[in-house]
Amino acid sequence: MKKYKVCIAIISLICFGMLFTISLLLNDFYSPTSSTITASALGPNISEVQRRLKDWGYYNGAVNGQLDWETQQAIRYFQRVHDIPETGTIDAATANAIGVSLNSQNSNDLYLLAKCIHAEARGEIYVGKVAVGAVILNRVADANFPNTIYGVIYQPWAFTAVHDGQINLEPDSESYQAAQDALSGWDPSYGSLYYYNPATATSSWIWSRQVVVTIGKHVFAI
Amino acid sequence: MNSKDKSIIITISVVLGTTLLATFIALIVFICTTKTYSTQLENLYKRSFYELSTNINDIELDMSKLVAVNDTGSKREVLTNIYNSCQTANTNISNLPIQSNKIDKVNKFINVLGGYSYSLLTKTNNNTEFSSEDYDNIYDLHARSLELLYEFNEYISNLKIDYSILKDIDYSDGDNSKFDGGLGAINSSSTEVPTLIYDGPFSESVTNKTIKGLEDFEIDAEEAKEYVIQTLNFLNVTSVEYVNETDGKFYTYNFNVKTANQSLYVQVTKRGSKIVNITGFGAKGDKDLSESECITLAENFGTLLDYENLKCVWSATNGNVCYVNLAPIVNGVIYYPDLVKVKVDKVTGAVVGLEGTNYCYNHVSRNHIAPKLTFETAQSKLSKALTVKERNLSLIPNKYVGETFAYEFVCSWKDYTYYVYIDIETGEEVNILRIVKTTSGDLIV
Repeated sequence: MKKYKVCIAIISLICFGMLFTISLLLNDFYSPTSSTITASALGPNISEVQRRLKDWGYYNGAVNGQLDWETQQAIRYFQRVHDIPETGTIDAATANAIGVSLNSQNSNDLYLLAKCIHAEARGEIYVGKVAVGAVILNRVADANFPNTIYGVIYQPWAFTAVHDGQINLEPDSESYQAAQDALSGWDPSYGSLYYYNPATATSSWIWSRQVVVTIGKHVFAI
Repeated sequence: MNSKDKSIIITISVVLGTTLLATFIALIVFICTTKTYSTQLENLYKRSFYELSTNINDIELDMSKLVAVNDTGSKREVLTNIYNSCQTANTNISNLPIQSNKIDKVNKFINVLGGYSYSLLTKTNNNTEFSSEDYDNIYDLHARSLELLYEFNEYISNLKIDYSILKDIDYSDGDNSKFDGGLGAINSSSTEVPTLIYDGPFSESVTNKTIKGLEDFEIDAEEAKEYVIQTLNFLNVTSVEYVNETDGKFYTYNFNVKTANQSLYVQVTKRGSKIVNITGFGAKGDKDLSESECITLAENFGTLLDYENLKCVWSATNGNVCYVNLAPIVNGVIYYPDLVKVKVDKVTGAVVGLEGTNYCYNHVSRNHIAPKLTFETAQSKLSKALTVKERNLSLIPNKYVGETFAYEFVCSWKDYTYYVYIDIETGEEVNILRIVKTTSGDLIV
């Protein structure tokens, strides 16, 4: 009798495991991409939100560009007063009521660049992030590469973090700032077109490039 | 076998059977979905691949026509076609599953050809005849485009009718697959792109700019460190740590500079001893500086770092950061090629960035200019729809190579603000910029 029970338990576990695996596989294909605009997608504009909420008396904290607890409470307070569902995040309705735009004229390039910097260099020091952004922009200007930021970032095999899907992570405010710096002309890599981590690089070709500078864990090269 | 055993066996069979059936159905759905996605991806790759083939055919055809046309309108049409084909070819190459270093020569050839055709188009629009050197370049580029066409067509003719790019992708770093290796072979057999001097994108003169704004003496790392300590002393520096050196467009000594509440990455040029770049990220603070306070801070900072006569010409706030663009203004002339950018953190009230490469590249003492046209004559060249609000004399960088003295007119139409630049010699409208207002500051586009 005990044997049967153990048997049933094992079979049930196997069945559960199989179904779970299958559901995970299918989930990858069928789950729709989240359509909610998260507060972090707003990036640097959080300061503007804080400034306005402060002017209107909803917020007493510092204008620091961080979506911290105090700011979230202020957003909730604002949402309550304006009959907007209380989420504590800057969704489309809240952004509209506050009068900030979730998408500025150049936000597509900025957002994508920030995403790529975050995915590729989130463990790096700030200047290393700016340099990664600069490499992408140097490629746009170089004849050997695609001529747009989208083209460079999504070029097959160009960036590991794009290839394995980490590009879809939400960038933090530091990555936004680094992207903004790179777009504003900062290039601590001075024209580099490649970068690699010497501890993990597997391509033999990349070692043949002329090294320009090492920043953090990355070697930048032309 | 008693009834209890039977019911247990039936239960196990039902559970197992149901699970297997569910798994089977799920697998079928999964496989079908994967196949659909694979087909769609294959179709996208094939579309890019065969469109690239068309682009290469068109490029060769139009290059051969360019040799034959003589009428301005026809030249314009052919050159526009070449430029467009090159742009599309570049996009199609970037869509293909091949590493950039295995297709770089082909890509470069197409981009340089596009850039060169753009410069010829500008010449045609200005009614300037092609020089004999231009024609030599056209013959040479045509020969190379013909060679590329032959190789590409030969490669395609060897592919079977049911050839799948997706199945032939090389996921390793090697050259094993037919697709990757085949295109790679075309790339490696392509001849080097000729050096072309022209006023357009990807020209050698754009990529290999000479440094004119640095003095002709050199310093070593110790001297650079001393310079950083002395120059940035007013920031209450707590430590200056030598990191390494940069051997790129500029040779620099790099330092980590720590102040009371932030860390800055500072780069000092070996030639001329200039702090050419400061990169930093704001810290937490409780200030809320106005934009005009940031501008004053940025202007003073530029002066302290030996950048001469800088005044704010543009500023924009993005989050906590105020970006201030500074340009030398001498005798009422704004020198835009020497633009220096300074980044001020509004909450800490500190400068967290400086970008001075344009200044280091371009800054020279320039001769006094005597405009041929008066302000009034230049203003008469403006569109009648515009209302002039401000006017200045300025030196502006050309789109690709060189500089032009121009009258700058700040104008409005409806709610839009424009910056229009009129050449002081020819009266030609050399650039028009429009301000786009965003929540994160005004942009010039």
